[in-house]
Amino acid sequence: MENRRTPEDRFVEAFRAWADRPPRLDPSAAAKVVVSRLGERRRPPQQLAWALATAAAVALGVASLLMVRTASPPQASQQAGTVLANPTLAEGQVLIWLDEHTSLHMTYAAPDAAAR
Amino acid sequence: MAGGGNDAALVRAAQLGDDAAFSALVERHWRRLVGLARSVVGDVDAEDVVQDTLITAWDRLGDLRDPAAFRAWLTRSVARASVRRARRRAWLRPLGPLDDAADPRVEDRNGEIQVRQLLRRLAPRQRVVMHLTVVEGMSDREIGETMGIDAASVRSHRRRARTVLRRLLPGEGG
Repeated sequence: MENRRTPEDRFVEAFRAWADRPPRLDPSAAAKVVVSRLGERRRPPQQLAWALATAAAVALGVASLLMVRTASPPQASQQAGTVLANPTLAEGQVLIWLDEHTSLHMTYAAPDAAAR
Repeated sequence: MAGGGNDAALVRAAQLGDDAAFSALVERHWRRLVGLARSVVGDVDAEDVVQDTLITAWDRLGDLRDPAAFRAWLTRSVARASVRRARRRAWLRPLGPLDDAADPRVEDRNGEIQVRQLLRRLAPRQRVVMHLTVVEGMSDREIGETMGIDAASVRSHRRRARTVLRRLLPGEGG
């Protein structure tokens, strides 16, 4: 019977045996690996976390710089009489830059407090 | 297509984000899918290809409208990924032109047929067709549905594969 097998029959038989070899990873180990890879993908990558932290720090720096500039004397091009906020002023005080050299401080108080 | 009868419930659960259900599906199909990938890309790359395909499958599971079609859908994904990998490998490491004479490497010293050496001589899609025909025993219609081609194209791929194999197998008339 052995001699009657054609080369193609032999190939088919060999192919089935070859394909039937067990994989390197058994199915349960493979399932664990795949599910753990799914979990890894759900966590943001460390590079992304660093990029987000850096972007937040830069944004904070730019915002701080803008606040300091806003509180500084206006340039000549700015209109006189601009009312500006200044975080160092006490409560009830207002600072108005009339031009780049002249500032006007005003203090607001209740009428009875001024009479005392 | 045989097997995979209870996939639908697991697929529905996995579509809702149930890792355990997806894990069960992986366990159920792993060996068969690695077998298919191995026939197309060889031992070294097969398990990587299947793992990557399963990760992609998880992402696209929501697109699968009929959970009962999971087996065919996954098989098609692995077949396509394997063909892509095999083509890339072939481009990087091309084989020489096909030799009309029987290749001495297709049999080892004991006269055993070296299946991998023979499969390497087939085009990647021919390897898929031969695997699904010989190993999985699928019909032309089933293979066509799996590969996204018609049954006539399946027969054409198989005919060309057999022509190549006859040239290479020792003892064939050629």
